[in-house]
Amino acid sequence: MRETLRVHMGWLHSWVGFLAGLLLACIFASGTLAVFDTEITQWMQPEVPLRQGTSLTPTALQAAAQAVQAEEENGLSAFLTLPSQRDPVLRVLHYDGYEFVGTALHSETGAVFPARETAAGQFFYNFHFSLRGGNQPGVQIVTFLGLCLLVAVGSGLVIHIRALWPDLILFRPFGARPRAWVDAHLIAGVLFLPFILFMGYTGTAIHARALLPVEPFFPFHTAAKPKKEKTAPKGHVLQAGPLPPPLLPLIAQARDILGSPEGNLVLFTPNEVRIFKSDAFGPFLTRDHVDFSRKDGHALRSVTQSPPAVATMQLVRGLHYARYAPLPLRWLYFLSGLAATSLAASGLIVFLMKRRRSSGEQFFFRLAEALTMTTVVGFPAATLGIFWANRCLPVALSGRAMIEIDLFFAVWGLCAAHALLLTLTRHAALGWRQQLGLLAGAGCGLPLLDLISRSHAWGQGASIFMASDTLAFLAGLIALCALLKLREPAA
Amino acid sequence: MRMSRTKNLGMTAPSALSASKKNQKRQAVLRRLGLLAVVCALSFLTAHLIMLDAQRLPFEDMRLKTDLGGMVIAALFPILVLVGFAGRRHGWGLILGLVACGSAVLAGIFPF
Repeated sequence: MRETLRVHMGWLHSWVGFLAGLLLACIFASGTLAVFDTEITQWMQPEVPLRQGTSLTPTALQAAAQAVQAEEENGLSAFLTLPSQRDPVLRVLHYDGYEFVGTALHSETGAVFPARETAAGQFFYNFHFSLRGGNQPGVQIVTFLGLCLLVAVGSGLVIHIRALWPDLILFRPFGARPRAWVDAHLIAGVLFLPFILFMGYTGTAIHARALLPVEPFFPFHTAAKPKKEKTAPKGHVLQAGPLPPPLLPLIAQARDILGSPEGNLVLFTPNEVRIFKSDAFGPFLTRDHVDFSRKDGHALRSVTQSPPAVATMQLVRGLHYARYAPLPLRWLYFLSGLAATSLAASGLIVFLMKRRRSSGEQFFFRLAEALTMTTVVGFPAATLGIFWANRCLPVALSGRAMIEIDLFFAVWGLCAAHALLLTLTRHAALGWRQQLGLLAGAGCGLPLLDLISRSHAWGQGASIFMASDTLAFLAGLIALCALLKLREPAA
Repeated sequence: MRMSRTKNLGMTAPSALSASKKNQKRQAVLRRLGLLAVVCALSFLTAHLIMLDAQRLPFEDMRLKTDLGGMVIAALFPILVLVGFAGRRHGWGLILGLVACGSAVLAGIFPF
């Protein structure tokens, strides 16, 4: 075979795309869900009513301040998120090493809502950038995969550039199966190329420091390291501060300075109260804040100006995190994320289809098919599993959030074991059908489960419950269609 | 690819042809893997040197310097890998990678 540039780059695209794509598909899918992390949390905490306004009262803030102090006495560094149009609840949160979890308070009475404990949308957010593996190796792996994505996209462009224009919107879903999958892969890749490139680039740039630390790998001389001050681990405090002064006047003053009328973040140190600008006001993810003394509430400083270099990074972060985005734009992010997920998933399928005839009997092919099944069907099944767990587990169960997450990984692990067992015993087609059946059942059954669990009234925040249930139902329906298609003989 | 029917057909068995084809394919894959490993190592070293160079930028904020270094690396690393892997004729891809790496070394040595 002549080793042309197209063949050479095709090899790179296939292998880097496949090996990285196994996890990239999950990263895309969880990132897509993380666009609606707040809404997923609201679905998973149906006890928290969503009809309140964004107004705050001194009583509610006093209750929140007391809750913060109580958390600090337990060694936890707690903070407040103030109510906003998107999340009209006063929340007292702390970092548990992976997610921000805590209680929800009524923004006027300060009463604690007896909401079920859940990691919810935060879990998908954390999984998206670290696979829930912490900074090392989780973030490092995801950043490395981001680089692989950029290499795969670049090599994909090289091999497809000649046919880019004529094939721009060519889709033959009823053609031969391999042709249809390649078309789906190309159409998702070409139409959403700007989004995929931008998100891949910004995501990698944001966490590049995790992969390439600033310390030299081969130091020329070993200088004595400066002694570090004793600091608390992330999410913890060494000592609790005094009860903060009345927060309402401080918040009003900070909002005037920051130009951020709702949804601010209030952080506490032993000596200071720091009020941050909400991320919802503009694409720049600024960390503008106004600081007050924790003892008497007098203003200490305000940080509201960012030099151009800092502003550039704020824009990169802001556009990637999409916290500024109004609802229609968030749906656009969501749809683009779905396209990126289908790009990765269809790429995995195309990889297998191309090699089935020549290598279908080999052990590594069967292993690759099992891993593909685990990603393409197992991950969505596990995702729906966390939604099912949320409704099925008792509301007052202690350590509930962790159990939900454990169940997610248990379902995913079982799907992997099932896929491995059936592909290695040459029953891959049966494995696909069984897992698709599970996914179809879990997706189509979720709205019914939500309905019969009677966990919430349908009058308030109905759009969130209806949208989530509809999307789950659609996922189930797609799995059912794929299952029916798999029963037909290949064209 | 069409197989040529030559006079030596009796001397070259189909299995030997297939084995030779397989061997050629294996060698091609090994060559590609070797090239990819070298290119990745070179690109990674360049990226690391750029991150170190970024620490000399005239900003006080350490985090900002690493962020800016990260932005350069996220753009440069895939390009270096693609160019290094694509440019096989006369090894110009590798030469370009070496030039980039050398430039990063020089940028670290000389003041700017």
